Amino acid sequence: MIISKNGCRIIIPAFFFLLILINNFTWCKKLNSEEIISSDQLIVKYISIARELKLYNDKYWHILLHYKRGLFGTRSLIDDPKYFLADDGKYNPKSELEAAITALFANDEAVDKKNKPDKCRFVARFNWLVEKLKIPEIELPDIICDSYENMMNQIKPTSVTLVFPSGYLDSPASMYGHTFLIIETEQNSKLLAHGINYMAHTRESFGPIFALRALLGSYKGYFSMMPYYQKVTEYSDLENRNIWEYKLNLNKQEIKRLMMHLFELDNIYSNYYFLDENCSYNLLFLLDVARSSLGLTSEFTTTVTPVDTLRVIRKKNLCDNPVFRPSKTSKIIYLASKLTVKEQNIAIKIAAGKDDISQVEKLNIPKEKKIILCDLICECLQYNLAINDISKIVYGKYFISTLKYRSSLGQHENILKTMKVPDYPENGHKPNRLALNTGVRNSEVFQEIEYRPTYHSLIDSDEGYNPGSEIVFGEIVARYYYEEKKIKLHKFNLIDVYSIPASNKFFFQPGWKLLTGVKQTFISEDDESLVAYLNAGGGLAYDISFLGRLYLFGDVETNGAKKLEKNYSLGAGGTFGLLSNITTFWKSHLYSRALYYGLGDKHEFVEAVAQQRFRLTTNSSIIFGYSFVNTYEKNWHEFIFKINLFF
Amino acid sequence: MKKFSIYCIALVAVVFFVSESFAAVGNAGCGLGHVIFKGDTGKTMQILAATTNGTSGNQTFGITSGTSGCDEAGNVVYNEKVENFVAKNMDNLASDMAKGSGEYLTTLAVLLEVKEGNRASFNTKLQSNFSKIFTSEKVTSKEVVANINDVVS
Repeated sequence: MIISKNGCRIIIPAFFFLLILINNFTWCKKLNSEEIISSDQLIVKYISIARELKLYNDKYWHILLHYKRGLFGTRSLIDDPKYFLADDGKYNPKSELEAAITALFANDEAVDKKNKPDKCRFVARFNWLVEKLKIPEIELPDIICDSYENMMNQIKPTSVTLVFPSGYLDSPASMYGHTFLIIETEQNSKLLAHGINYMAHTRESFGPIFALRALLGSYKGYFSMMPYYQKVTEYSDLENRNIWEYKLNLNKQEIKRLMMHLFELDNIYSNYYFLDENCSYNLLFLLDVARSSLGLTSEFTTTVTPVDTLRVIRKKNLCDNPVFRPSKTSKIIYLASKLTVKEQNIAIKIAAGKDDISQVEKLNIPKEKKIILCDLICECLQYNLAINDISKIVYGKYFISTLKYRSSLGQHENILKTMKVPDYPENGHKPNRLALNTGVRNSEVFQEIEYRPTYHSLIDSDEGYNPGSEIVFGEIVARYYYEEKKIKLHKFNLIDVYSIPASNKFFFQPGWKLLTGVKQTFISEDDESLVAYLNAGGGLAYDISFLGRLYLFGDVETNGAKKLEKNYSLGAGGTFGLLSNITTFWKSHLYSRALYYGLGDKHEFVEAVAQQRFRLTTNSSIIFGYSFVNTYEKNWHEFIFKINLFF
Repeated sequence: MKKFSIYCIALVAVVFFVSESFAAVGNAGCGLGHVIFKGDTGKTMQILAATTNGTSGNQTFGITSGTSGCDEAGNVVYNEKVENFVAKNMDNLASDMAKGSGEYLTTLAVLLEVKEGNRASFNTKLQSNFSKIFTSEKVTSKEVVANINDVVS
């Protein structure tokens, strides 16, 4: 073959180029096959390191997987099988860790590409493993996981705040309040923050069924995200609950860890248990992941209420004093307090659509007063619409005309900023109560012991609680009469709930009560017996200045016991009472009740009680009590002295 | 040597990245990473009870459900848009605007990217033009947004 000189210059380089190309391809192939062997070797290598370091016992690994040590061994509180990489991952931290290491190095081709590959979900887990096992980046398979990065780029978190809407008695699920988180973003406005909420997912609207199923853990709990402004409207405006915002001092790295774990928990369920694995408790995992030194989740072994979690985050210095966001009803009461009776009545009329804004225009009062009056009218209009007292059309007409007038009055420092902030919820007395009592009843001396696991009584200090509320479950009272020389169960309060809100010209708020359990009660002139009881009632209350809260309730009560004639009695009557905060440390509760039992064991029951409570510290108080009972035509007088300890 | 394998894989990954970013993020439900915006536009003055899925003040034994909504395609609409904020907070925004101050008004300013130094004049301008923005009780959120744009530009 004759090759021209010029031809050589083209052909020879071309030949070498071809050689190089072929070699590259064989290299690629070689590397691929080396790759597959490599990842297996890496898995073996790192599992062995993990075993040496006993990483499966690491506190942080247990937090990430929500493991709890119990009577029957370790198990994860998460119930969704999708959360675990190992088949027995829920019960076996070691096999879960080793499955995680395996998944970390898994060849992407082995994973079903239609679903998100595991490593893209479990960002927190894998990040931690890489850090702990000191895995260099070059050994990690190249996978692009953009959904987590997308979320972070869109949220751009700057801070995390724990939010506590206070308790709402009219809903069993909300009696103890609620907690959720908000993630503030670079957009500097709290209303635009992302709310993170853990809740039982259900459409159940009948309270008692919800309560029962939630107690038994028969609902699935999920995390969900929504704009904070939506929550503000819901809690503050519709349910009239005060909101407290606790800004957490998490740094950037900690916030990042929180977000990674939150991402892992997307669409993952745990069974929702109202008493312990509830909204408040599940949030704590997010905080523990952010800062492992906190150990928040291990602070609780039995029940958890939202306020318990507030106490713990303050104890651990995770935040400072909270910011107070008043409910609509709080705002209305405060604005009204700045106006005269005449001005208040004008506001009520306009907010009811019975008068128009010209009534304000023609008033001869300072501009500042007119501003407050307009603000009050608008808040009342919104309240009236929310409770369906006025139609949307009426609301729209008066709302716009009032605002139009208000806009002509110019700007003024918002009077609501001078509103007194109530006592912080975490500063109230603790929920458990133990009382050691001494007393005498018709010359019989007795000693008494009471234990109440939860939560608050009418006579307790209202600091941090809703005034006029009583929430008691499972209270036990035992008495020892010296003459009889035996301890008797005096009372077992299974349920004891009172809601005594004050009505006024702005709000009509009926109260209610529900009590059930067993108690010692007189069944004849000389004999008392343990009876099962159920008492329900409703009524109204008003705050009278200098006196306190006056209430009047209608009562219905039924008692059941073998010793009763026909084994039961059913009666109706009423209760009339006065709750007064005489000083900051002295509270008085006076009430009298009359019940006429007309069915079953017919008899009358009249009682008059006076209780005077003196606060010693936040978590201790003493009570002097006197009660008079007339039933089965006999009078009983009882004096009692109680020492209360809260813990 | 490793670089070649990385190059091979990267090429494959880029293809996936491109296709991933046009797909809807996440599964069909509304979990994390999805801020909810119903595709409502032009809603008339909202009564409080209809704007949220919360319980009304009177309902005894009501439970606040924890569900949240998404638009039909399950698309992520992450950045707060002015129209959506106005639609969902119209009453409180109107109230703040008439006062010339408040959290909802400030949030509007943030969304419209009004610099902090210009906020005072922004607030005053909107307050004095209140009737031009909230023209009547039948005004829709879309109209409000258009009117605000007219006033500030």
